[in-house]
Amino acid sequence: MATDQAKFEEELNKFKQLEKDREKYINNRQQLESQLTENTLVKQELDLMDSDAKVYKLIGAVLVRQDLAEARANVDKRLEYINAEIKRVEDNLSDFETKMKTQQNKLMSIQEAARKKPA
Amino acid sequence: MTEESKGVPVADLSVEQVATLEKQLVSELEFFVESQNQLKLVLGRNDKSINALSILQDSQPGHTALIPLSESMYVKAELSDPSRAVVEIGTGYFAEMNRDKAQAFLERKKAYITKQIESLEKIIVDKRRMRAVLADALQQKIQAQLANMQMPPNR
Repeated sequence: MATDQAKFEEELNKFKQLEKDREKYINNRQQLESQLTENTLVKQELDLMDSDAKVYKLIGAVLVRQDLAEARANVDKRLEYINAEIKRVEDNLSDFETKMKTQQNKLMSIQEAARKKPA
Repeated sequence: MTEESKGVPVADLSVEQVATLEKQLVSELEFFVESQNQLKLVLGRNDKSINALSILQDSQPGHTALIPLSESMYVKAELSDPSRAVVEIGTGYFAEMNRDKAQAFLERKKAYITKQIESLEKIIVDKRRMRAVLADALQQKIQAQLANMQMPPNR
């Protein structure tokens, strides 16, 4: 009985850890999502600009003049990177989903076994 | 919209399932409300920019103003060219634009933010209603279970 309890708790802790890690990834994803939106908006604005427009990049506390073409290329690169990251996090999340399901099944079978024993 | 498809099976779910669902809904709701609040702050800041720009609408070079260098320190300055403004377009990028373009940009941003706030509002209302439904169902289920536990002494 006591070992059942201990085993159950151990598995439960594993489950909670999974849950916590998954939350981290979800937060990560949300952050990426907002970065994606912001970068997309910047891209739209840059595309609207005349070719001789003056663009500055904030580096630390200084505004540095940047070529429009360069700024566009930078934003494109960043969009690419963010999309790749989102895909990576997404894959991880679905991984977690399956892991959590197996862990949950494990927990339930332990519970089931414990319930049958004393009867 | 998903209310119908969700509303029916709620009765078939176990107490744990309803509780998890409700917990999930609550955290979603928190997230959306927080996002909306942040958007409202951004909207306010954007309105300030629009306002500032409209003050400069027909000012000439040489227009003087007190420019804040910090929250509590200002310098008197002369605008060499009030027809142009440097506007932040996001992710650390700033662009120099003439007045009309700057105004168009800010209005565009305002429309975008307002749209986001509205769509969030819809989601929030929806989630609140779903949450109420779930909370009700959960309450009923717990009551039913308690009644069940009390009625037959062995079980």
